[in-house]
Amino acid sequence: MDVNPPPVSDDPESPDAEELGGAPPLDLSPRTARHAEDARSGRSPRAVLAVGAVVLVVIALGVVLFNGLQSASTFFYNVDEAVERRDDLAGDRFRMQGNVVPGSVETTDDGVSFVVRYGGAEVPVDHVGDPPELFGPEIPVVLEGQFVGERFASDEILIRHDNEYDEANPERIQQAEQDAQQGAAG
Amino acid sequence: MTIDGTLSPSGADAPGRSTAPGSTSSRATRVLGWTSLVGIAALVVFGLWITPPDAQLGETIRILYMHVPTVSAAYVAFIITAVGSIAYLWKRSEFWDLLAASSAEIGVLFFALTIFNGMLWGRITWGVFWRWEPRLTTTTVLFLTYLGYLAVRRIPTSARTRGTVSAVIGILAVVNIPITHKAVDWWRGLHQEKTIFGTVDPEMQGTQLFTAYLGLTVFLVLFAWLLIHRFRLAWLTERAQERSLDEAIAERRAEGSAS
Amino acid sequence: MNETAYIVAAWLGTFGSVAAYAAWIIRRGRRASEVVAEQDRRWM
Repeated sequence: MDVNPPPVSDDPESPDAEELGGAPPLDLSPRTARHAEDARSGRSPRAVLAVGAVVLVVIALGVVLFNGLQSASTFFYNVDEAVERRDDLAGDRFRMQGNVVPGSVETTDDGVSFVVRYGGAEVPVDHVGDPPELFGPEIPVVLEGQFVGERFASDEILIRHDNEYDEANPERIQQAEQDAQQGAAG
Repeated sequence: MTIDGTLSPSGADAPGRSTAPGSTSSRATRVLGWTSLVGIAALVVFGLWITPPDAQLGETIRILYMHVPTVSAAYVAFIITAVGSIAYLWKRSEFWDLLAASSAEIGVLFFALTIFNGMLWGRITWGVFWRWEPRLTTTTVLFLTYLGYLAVRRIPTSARTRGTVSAVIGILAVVNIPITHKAVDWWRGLHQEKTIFGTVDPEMQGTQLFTAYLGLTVFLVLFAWLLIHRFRLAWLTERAQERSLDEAIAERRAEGSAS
Repeated sequence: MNETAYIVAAWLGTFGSVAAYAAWIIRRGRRASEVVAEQDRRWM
């Protein structure tokens, strides 16, 4: 930014004020913008940037509203609903929610197999990949995959966290601390 | 960036301007600032050391000590934006316009941090950073709306037009909050139910509950401190712009007299 | 997967961002104060 010259002519007591006959008429003819202030009302880079940002946000909003809400509204089927719709869902990739049946978890060559249950229906699952850390019996899970015959082929297990915040009892704290230490050491 | 051009060092000794160094601080902000610092220190001690790990969540509950207060403060910020917007349309005073804008900017910051914390928590708990489930989708819509609010304010125009347009957005955008908040009840998704106010979890006990409320208090004080500073900065920026406009006119007057 | 790293990242990321933002607005406030008349800074 350049330095502005001092406004000499504004001062009525300045030596040249008399000669010029008071305040000079203001020159209102248009001129090329030299200062950011002059460009404020025009198409300055700042204006283009701001309008561009608004357009981008609006597009992003549209995409999210269209795609996001569509998939969000049917985020998953419960096991019993999935079984009911088995014919419709054949070949489709979808999410299925249920609880892991205790005693059904078995490690396989490329992952785990187990049974999920919800609303009185059960489906055997073959999962490819490592299950997440919190995976275990009774845990509510959301599986991503598709029906292959009677079984569900899953490639992603999401843990559905439920709303219990009970303060850990002493044994579990001890366990957690041990885990933490092992984690830090390993 | 916007005020850089108006801050030429030559202006420092011009008449009508203070040569003393100034800032946006006052006694009120100093009190709030120190309270925040002490509160943050206490929150670190409680949140990271004193509280036991959760029975279900284990150590990851410590991320929620950041997640819940930041989202609460962001909601408060967006509600202040809406109140300021309504008041602006009614009173047409600069104060309400600048308050709404300042609050929205801090709200966006806190909301971005909520999403950041939530993604880290989701990676550990769910196994993934992100899924387009109802709470996260509505959260994205809410975030983008306020980003849009801030972007619209940057379009150069008259203060009145800017104030009016952004006030309308500021009022409409707040509708997103109950939708986002209720998304966990209305649609099925991954996100757990209720993590906000009054429900900071009745089932959390003892030191966990205390830490949750401590976090909420600390972030609200921090928000108040930021808001005052941000509002004063907005106010100063407007004054600086007016001044530079005056100077530009004076300059042209000078040129006119010289020719 | 190391939980501790995620927790530390969440806390550092949160307070770090807020601190950076606070420093930014306070610095801009100082610079803006220099060019604005005293009567426009009544909170001083």
